[in-house]
Amino acid sequence: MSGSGVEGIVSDYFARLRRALAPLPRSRRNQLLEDLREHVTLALSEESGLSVREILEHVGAPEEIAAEALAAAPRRPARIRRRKALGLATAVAVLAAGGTFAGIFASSNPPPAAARTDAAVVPVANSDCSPQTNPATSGGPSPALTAKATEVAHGTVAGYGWSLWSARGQSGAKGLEDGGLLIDGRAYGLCPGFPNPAELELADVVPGTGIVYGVIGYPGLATVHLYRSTAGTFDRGTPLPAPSVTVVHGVSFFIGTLPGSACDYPSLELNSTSPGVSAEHNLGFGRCTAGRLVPITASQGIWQLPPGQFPAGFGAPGGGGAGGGPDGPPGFPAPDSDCFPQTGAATSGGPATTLASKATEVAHGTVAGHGWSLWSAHGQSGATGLEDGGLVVDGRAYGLCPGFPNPAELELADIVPGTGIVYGVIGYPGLATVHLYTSTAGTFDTGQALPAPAVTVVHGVSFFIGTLPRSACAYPSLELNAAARDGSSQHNLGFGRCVTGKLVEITSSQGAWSVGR
Amino acid sequence: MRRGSIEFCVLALLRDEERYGLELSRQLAADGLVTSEGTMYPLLARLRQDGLVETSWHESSQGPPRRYYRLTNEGRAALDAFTVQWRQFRDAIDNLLDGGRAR
Repeated sequence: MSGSGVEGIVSDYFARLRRALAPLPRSRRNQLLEDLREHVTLALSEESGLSVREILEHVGAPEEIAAEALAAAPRRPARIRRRKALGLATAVAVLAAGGTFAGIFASSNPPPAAARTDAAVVPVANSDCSPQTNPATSGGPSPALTAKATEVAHGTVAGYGWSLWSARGQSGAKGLEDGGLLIDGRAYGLCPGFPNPAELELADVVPGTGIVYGVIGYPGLATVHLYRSTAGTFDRGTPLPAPSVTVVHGVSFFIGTLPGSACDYPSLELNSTSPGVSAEHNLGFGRCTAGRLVPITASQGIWQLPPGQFPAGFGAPGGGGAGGGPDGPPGFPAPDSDCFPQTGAATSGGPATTLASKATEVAHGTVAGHGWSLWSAHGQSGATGLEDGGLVVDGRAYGLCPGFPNPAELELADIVPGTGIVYGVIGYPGLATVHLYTSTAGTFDTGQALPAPAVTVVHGVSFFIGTLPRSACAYPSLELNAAARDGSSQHNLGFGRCVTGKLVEITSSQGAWSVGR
Repeated sequence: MRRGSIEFCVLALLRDEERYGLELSRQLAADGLVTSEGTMYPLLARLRQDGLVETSWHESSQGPPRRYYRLTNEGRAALDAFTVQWRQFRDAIDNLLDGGRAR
């Protein structure tokens, strides 16, 4: 579970809902998530006297909502997948001559022109989540799986026989992910983490012993390391026994046991290194049920990393700051900086005198008819200087809170009635392209494209500022995709209640980024 | 029967005024027409996809902005057609039920 407060309970609910809705096409899934998030936000904003748990009980079990949606949903047309695959292939063809590592934007939209991919390491396009991946329907009889798939590997784990099945007519990771795993004659799914090539499932099949398995979608034999962790971070806790790894269909399938029951692991960290590239994945798990997969309640990942370089730490919930990890690997922007007090939603928008006394003005302009100036902390440079400094709009100070180790950060301000103001820093060197979209918190989905903000190089990195078509209060989530010469970054933020004259509270934050040359 | 007719109940709630999702779902849940508030959203999505309702965001002085649903011309026509069919259906069933009781 990711938390017991209101935010944690709601976050867990939506993670469960997202998982239950996974079989739906992305656009339908996102629409439902957006609708239900609005419903819950409104219900919470009322002074009804109901607790958050009671409100969510009225909304209904995610599985029940998903069943209603699936009952009415047309099957996902195959051409959607082909189109997605084609888009990726096009990007590879155009950009393969570029650098070595770059992020892939988790979106059905094409990546910004400056994004680069590496043909040698791009995993296959997305595949469906087989029904057996749903914890509620996992562990069922085998014919549902074996009737549509071919056995491609087998072995034993904790004394139980397993066999791996690939969907007929498909290959690579996609074949395995559209197929599934039999353990002791019961079917369990593999749900892709696309575009992250790494995925993991935790099964409560053997009393007292968790079973983990998954696919690393990069070509070749991967080394796979598992750790205890904390959901929502990339922290590595106690190392866990390494699973066995086999190359199947050209990618890596792994399976192994954990020292404790599957119920004993609220979070796992999966670090894998395939030939020439690494991927990092952090998963949170919910309540376990004997004989079934343990529900995944949180999931985040970074991929296309240099081999063996796994950033630790991550932005804490609430947008306040920093992962607190050690210096990032080579190629990352400057180490962490402080979250300036003006970044707190409640303390933002105060008089600018404090900021001006400890910082130097480094840029200025106008946005929505209001004058702004950007200030860098005395004695500092680069993104750190800006993030320890801040922004002044109409004489009021607003902070910049770093998303370290993610080089991108964004703030949403409710300063101008009817017009949201967004600004932030892209910590990669040089001029970045910045794209903003409406989104769904907790995803990397891109919804409606929003006006591109103005971008300026300040202190060698990119500062951006712009307006949104509607009030800052109208955006429950934004997706920030940025690309610069040395890498790209993806950031998804969820926003809470807006207050006139203040920054909008950041209620969730996740990112993926890449390392430059 | 409920699954087939519930969408017209939504259209009926929108016949005279715009409503936002929370309002609609609570009304239908209170009437026992949906098992939980959340199960109405797949239905609303389908109505929107079919062009029977359309939505717009409204600011609210009492909280976050709300997505309001309203009938389209197609939705109103579909509701009118269903109303005629339903009344015929209801009358036919009533006749049968009343006849059954009489015997």
